[in-house]
Amino acid sequence: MTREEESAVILKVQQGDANAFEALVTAYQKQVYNLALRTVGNPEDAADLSQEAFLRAYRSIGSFRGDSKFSVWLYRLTTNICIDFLRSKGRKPTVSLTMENDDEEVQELDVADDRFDPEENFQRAELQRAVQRGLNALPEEFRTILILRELEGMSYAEIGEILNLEEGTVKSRLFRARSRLCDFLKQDGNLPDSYASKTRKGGAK
Amino acid sequence: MPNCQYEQQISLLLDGELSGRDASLAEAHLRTCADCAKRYEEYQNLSRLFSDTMAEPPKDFAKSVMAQILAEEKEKVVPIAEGKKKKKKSAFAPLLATAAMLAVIIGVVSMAGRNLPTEASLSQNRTQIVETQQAAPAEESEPDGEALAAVLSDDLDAADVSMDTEGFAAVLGAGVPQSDDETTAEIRALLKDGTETDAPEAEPVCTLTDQEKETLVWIDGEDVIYTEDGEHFLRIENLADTLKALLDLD
Repeated sequence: MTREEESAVILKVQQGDANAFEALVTAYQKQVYNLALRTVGNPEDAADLSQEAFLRAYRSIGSFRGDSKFSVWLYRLTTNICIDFLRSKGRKPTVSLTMENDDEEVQELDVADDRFDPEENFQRAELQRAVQRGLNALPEEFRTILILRELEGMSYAEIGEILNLEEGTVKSRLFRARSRLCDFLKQDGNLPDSYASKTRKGGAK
Repeated sequence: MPNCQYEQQISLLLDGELSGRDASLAEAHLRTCADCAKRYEEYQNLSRLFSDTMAEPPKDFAKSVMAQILAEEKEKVVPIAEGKKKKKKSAFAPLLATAAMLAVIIGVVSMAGRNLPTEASLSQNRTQIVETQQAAPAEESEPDGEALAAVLSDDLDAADVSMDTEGFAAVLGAGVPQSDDETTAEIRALLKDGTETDAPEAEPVCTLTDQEKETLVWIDGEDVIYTEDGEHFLRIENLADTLKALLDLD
């Protein structure tokens, strides 16, 4: 969906065409779900929270003015919902039981992907858990910034807009978060060079 | 862990957040500092790790979201009969607030319609809006049903509701936090204009409590109004008829 097409869809929804909203859900569901998943750490909560994010986006789409990107607006909503969720019960993000359980992981984990053989899927599941553990070990204000950058490709200015932070703050926190996560993963041998070269060949994004 | 003062620059370079000159400097540094070159590669690996371990959303996620939205959409339409029963208070306070606001606007718009909008009549109308807005917080009240009835019976039919939906939105924008920037700017300009003019004082048609004003969200230009009471949006179709029915004007 080009930005023009997206604007047209948004306008339709704003004018009362609820069905038109589906195109936006389809376009952003993966990003929103992964944002929630990385923030709270388990698939069940992530599914609920991303659903909530889309519902709220729909309800308040009248207030979307198009002076920022729709994605920025949507991720801001999603991030707030996830952070509220974590804060409301003093929760910590988790690595879910299904993610932890080695016996069931191949069928339970939704990272399985046809592009990879079973061994690679296994490896990716391992890495996904490792990334999550590393993210969970970061303070929330570091974690969210890194997720928005690495997962959603947001610029520093956009991250600042999403989290109400000065760009300078984004800059320093992002660097520290990245540096810490990198060290965390290296320590456990989960940032292997070979992994990178392998997936490069596989044509992963 | 490498401990080079350039390390943060390396991270910025990866994110494309360095200007042309700074980027060239950082790239030059990468060619001479083995620690930073290694770190740069690690950062790249980390980024790839994020994208390669992205999960798929649950099956039928979009469908389930849409089902919930469409179900909510159905609930939002307020049947006229139900509106009558509950009238005045509680759940319909936002609706009444809306009706009150509308009555003001309808009055204004229909006046404009009659006189055909000369500059003078417009600024007079603007002044009336200002007066109403200013007077509003002073009294605590629910909208005065009789005053509304009077205004509505007098002006509702005369006013061409569909004709001036943009005007409605603009006027409503004054009391609404979520209106779009342009509309807000426009109405601010109108209001400012109005106060500076030497126009006769206008009596407020009715008053709204601050809370009631906050509950009003917007009119989307299709004879549909949205109000919000905390969580819920109400969507009322056939606005004019609904209001008449609600205020027993039939």
